[in-house]
Amino acid sequence: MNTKMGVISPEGLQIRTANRASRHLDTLEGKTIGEVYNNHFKGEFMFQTYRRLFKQKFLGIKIIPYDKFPVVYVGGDPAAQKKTARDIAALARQWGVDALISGNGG
Amino acid sequence: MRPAAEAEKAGIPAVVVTTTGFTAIARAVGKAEGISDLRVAEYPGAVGVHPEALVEKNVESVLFDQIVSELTTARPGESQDAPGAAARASAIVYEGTFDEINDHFKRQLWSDELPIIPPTLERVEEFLKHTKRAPDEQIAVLPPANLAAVPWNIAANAVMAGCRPQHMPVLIAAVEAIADNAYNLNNIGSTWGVLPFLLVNGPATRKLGIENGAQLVNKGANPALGRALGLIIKNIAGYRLSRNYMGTFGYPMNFVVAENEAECPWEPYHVEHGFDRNDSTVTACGTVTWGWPPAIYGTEEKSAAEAALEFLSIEVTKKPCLARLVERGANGFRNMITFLLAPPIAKALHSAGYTKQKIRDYVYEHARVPCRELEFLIEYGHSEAFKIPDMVERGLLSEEYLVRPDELVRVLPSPDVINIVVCGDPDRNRAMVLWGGYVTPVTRKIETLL
Repeated sequence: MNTKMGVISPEGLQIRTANRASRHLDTLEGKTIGEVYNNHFKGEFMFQTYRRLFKQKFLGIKIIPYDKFPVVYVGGDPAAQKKTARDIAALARQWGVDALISGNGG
Repeated sequence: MRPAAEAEKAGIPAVVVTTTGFTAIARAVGKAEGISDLRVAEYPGAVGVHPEALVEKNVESVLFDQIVSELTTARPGESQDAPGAAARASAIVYEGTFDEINDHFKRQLWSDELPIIPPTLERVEEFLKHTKRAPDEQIAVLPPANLAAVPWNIAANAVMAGCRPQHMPVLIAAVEAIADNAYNLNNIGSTWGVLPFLLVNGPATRKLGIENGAQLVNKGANPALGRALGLIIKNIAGYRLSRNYMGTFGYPMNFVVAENEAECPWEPYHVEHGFDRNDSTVTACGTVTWGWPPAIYGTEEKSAAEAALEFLSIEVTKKPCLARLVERGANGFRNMITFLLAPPIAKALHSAGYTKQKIRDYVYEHARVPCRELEFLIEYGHSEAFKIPDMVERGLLSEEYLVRPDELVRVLPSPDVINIVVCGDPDRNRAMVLWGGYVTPVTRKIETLL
């Protein structure tokens, strides 16, 4: 039991390097916020509160509500989920979204 | 999390809203999707039991400022993946005694908290002799961490679990099966506690001592193979307890079953799915349930086959999360039901003229609950923003669910979600129903045993 042994790692091998998140916004004033929702965890109450607070605190802010984007749903397989995610990102770019809020995980 | 990662890739800052304890899993998913420092804001507590007024208060006092801060504050940024992470899989990463190695593996979160057999080069190389695959060949990339499985690290986990070198082809096929998108390994970190398990068919079961009889999950090669599967999911797929493997009450040990093909009155599972009887296969499965296996009795009035069918139909309705089980279509929730039938039950059904398909069709037709029960589960078991009519509109349910509350509705989306496996004590009249939300079964052929 006291003999020293060398061992290899059981972990998987890295095959790609992740990218950093994009640059932050200097302000939310005048910006367009996109909402993405999976119909989970009472997000509908949260989003309505965000909208009220955004409008109170940031002049000229615009909201594109979650019902304009595809529903991010727990169903389907990873390929279907990825396609939905890409469709949402493409729509966000097309509509000039400056920042996205994606809920609700947990 | 995935839309946020895709938005970030498109240059749009995106913040994921999650609940307490889920920041790590959000960042892990983000990293697997290619973003190393995903923005996350955390709602405090279990929102499911918070009334609307408290949700609003928590958003105002906690969550909203986090969202704004995440979007508008410069981030220090996390380090890039360490250089050399793709170092040779055969590199010695630690030297020590048996106890020191076990302590090191626990610190690295590489063990399952039980003692492991140290994966020395010598032991691992014995496993590599039992596959034709090159030691560095990429067998698969496993989500959610998107790390590569190669024979070196598959063998390392097999050694740790106590497998025999001859088991290597089974585990390679298992890795290929769980890597298939259809299996949905990417999504099993849920708080439900989804437990992957393996079904093995074919001549390899006899050659490798994989048990199919009484107490099969605890005998023969089964426990070590199950443990190896669990370690592979942890170490290669990257699932870590309390980070991205979030089962509320944890997970029993992963397990392995084999079909008792000699006692199976029908085509065994792998033949039913297009393989030759002489092929050996591994099927990746999943369950969130174990539990009571009802004993089934026939009488003068009701045959054992009829009683079995009624029991199976009742058992299906007792499984959790019927609200998800009913979903169908391309975006519907993934499900698999597994019937483990002891040989006497299978033979009684077969003698009464029931094929596997007829059993599926019967249960599909007869497993029903009142519609109001389904509505309740959707509204209070999932806090869904949409109800049955919305689900019908979205194609997740057919129009047959637009009925009065007391009318009975099916709980299965299709007969095909039922998988039938003959195994267990050959002298008992019992059956067990396992339900594996999030996953669908995937079968892969085991390469020739060496």
